Amino acid sequence: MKKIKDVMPKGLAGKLVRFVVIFVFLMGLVFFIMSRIQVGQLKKAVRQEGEKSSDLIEGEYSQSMDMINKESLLQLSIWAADKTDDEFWIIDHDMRSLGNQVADIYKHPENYNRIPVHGPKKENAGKFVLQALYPGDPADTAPETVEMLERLANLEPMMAEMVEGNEGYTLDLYIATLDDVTLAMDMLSDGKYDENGKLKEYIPSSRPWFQGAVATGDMYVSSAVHSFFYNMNEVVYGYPVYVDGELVAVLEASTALGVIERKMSERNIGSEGFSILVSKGGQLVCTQRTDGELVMREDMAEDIRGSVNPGLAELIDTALLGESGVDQVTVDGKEYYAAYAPLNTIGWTQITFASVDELTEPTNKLLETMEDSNDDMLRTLSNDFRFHSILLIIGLLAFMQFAIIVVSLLAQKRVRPIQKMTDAVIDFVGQDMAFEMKDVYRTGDEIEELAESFDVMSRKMKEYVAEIVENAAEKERAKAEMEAASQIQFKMLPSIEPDYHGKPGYELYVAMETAKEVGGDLYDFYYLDDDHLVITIGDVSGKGITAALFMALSKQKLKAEMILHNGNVAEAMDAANKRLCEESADAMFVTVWQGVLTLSTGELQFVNAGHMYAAVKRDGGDFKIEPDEHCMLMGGLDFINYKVNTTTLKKGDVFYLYTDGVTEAHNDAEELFGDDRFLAALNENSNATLEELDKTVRKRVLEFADGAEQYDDITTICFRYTGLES
Amino acid sequence: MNITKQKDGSRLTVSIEGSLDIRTAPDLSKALEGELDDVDEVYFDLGGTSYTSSAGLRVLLKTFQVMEAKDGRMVLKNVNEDLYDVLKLSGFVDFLEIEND
Repeated sequence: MKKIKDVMPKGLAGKLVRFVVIFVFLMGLVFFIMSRIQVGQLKKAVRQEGEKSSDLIEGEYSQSMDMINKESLLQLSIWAADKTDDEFWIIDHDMRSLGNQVADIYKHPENYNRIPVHGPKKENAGKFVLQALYPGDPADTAPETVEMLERLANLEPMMAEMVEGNEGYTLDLYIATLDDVTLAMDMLSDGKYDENGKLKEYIPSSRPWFQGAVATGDMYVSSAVHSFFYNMNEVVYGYPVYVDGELVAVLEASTALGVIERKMSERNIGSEGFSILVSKGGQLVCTQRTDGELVMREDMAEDIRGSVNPGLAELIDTALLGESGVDQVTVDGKEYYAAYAPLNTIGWTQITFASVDELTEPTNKLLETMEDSNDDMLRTLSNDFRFHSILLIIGLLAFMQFAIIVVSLLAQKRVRPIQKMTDAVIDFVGQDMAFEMKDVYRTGDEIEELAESFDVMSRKMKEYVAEIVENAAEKERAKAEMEAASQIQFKMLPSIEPDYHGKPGYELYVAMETAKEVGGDLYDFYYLDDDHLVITIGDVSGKGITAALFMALSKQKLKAEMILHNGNVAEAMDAANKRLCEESADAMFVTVWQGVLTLSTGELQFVNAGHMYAAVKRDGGDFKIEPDEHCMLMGGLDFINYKVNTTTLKKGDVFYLYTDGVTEAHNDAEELFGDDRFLAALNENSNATLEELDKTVRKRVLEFADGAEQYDDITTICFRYTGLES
Repeated sequence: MNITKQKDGSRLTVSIEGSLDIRTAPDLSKALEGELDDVDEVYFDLGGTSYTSSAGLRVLLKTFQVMEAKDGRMVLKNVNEDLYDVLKLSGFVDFLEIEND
């Protein structure tokens, strides 16, 4: 990091480099985000396509597979049932053929020779041999029965052929007479003996097949039964033989269930498939189940519909109606397709079960494979993207490095004039305000313009500075002159001391306070002669030096005309007004109160030319504003005839004259001091000395203004008539 | 202070609102500059004028002088009591035309 910091250019060039770095970085970021989005969309598309295929397979494909499965299962089931039924049909056919022969022998015994028959001999075990079985002692057998047995023995070859030719399915064939003598063809000669070596007593009429055949009058098929002679379960057939409507004998045949089961199991579907055989009465005849709902019943006569689940029971119901079909059922909690088909010969049904899982396994496997392939593709996409991202980042970093170097070089070259100029400008500010145009700034672009501007600016600055210095000097000079003028103006005004103090007939007090260096207020007092004192107060409109000049002019004219007109104040002011109108510029005017006090009599003749009314204290009372004959102010209109006011003062009467700076003093709320406050201030102690009176007024004005700037001069003249001692 | 000017043929009406004192009088003076050349009558509507000092008076006087010189008229309108007192004090009131609505 430290290294990069050292390499990074400073100042403008650095900014440029940083800008480029940020720009490249942002470009890379945008590119990265865009490719991220595209990969995302691609992934989404792949995922959606995969899901679509899966849905298709799960939906339509598996549905059609299901249909194919069910259809082929049904066909197989019908075929298997036919195969099983074939065996029963053969037995049925054989027995009917044998029955016809037996009937013929009973009908025409004379056509058959007598062939002796013997009881079972142990040495014949394992060979198909015809054996005669008697219910009791063979000697007790009726001779006509014996004769008939010997004639029936002619059927031995046929019976042997039937049993041997249908090996496995036909275990044995019996012909039983009505007096319980049996002619048996089987391989079990030794089985007829009990463990004591005594012949077992066999009573055919007590056997179910005998009774069944007699009861139905036609072929009887038992459901599963336990064999009398064999240690096995079997299905037994009984067939009655009639001659002219009379029962003469009953035939028996049997089939070992094991054989049927084996044959059926050869036609099972899948490793989990099995099939069962259900007899007309709902008894389970054959099954390959070794436990659960469809295991062989202990009581083989039990109707299994009472003990299996309702779905399966319903299916068996339907199947036993002789129909064929396929449905989905549960056996021992597992799903199976069950296809049923009738065994037409005997009215049973064979049901073939195939595991749903097993049948749909290929479809599921296909789905899994597809999902795996989808996942693979997504993984590949992600990996590719990651790889490309890393490449992109490396590329960006490399490009950034390159950009930094190039831009640094370029920027330093471009920025060099600016740096030089910056140094020059720093010098310019810090030292002599000199900026010199140099060749290095001649870049032909904004830098050159900037340099030229600096050049111009530096020259102008120098000029301005010179000017400012000059102006400042000028101002100082003006200020000094103003001060001088102020002093001159002040000196033009008379002072009480020493000539007007302690003189007989009056007391006089005057005060002036200017708002600026030179004021526009004026006052004057002088003797015309020993008995006549002229008192003047005036206020020039405007401020500053022009007002000061006009004030000086006014004072001079007023006095000159008073002297010229020998104290006739009205005439003097008429004349002075004309002079002032001539001299006035820009409507400058002056308000004037001018009076002549005759000290011996107290008579006061005065003209008020637009000036404030005097506040007068008479007969020891309070000060009052005393209205007078007012005339036009001076310097405005040149045709005025001033009118004189005449009043007589008594000893102790006081005249208080003032300029409008008193009553028009204002506070911050723009309220005026006004006549009422003015009189109140005068009357606080109206008998005080003139100086104290004036100071009280000024004090109250200051308090009232409370720091608000006063624009006007305040000038006051106050005189008390004291009378001459006569 | 707020100055509104309205020229109606040869008559100029100037309405002044607020205080006409030494601080604001130059504004009025400036507002009138050049306006008086082609008018015969100047009306100052002082209905909204609260106060005038000698500086304001000076502007009025100057206008009056200009109008006098060319035989024109200057009329003050809606002069309130305080204002009238000031005009009276100056003696100016004897020469002025004052119209109150």
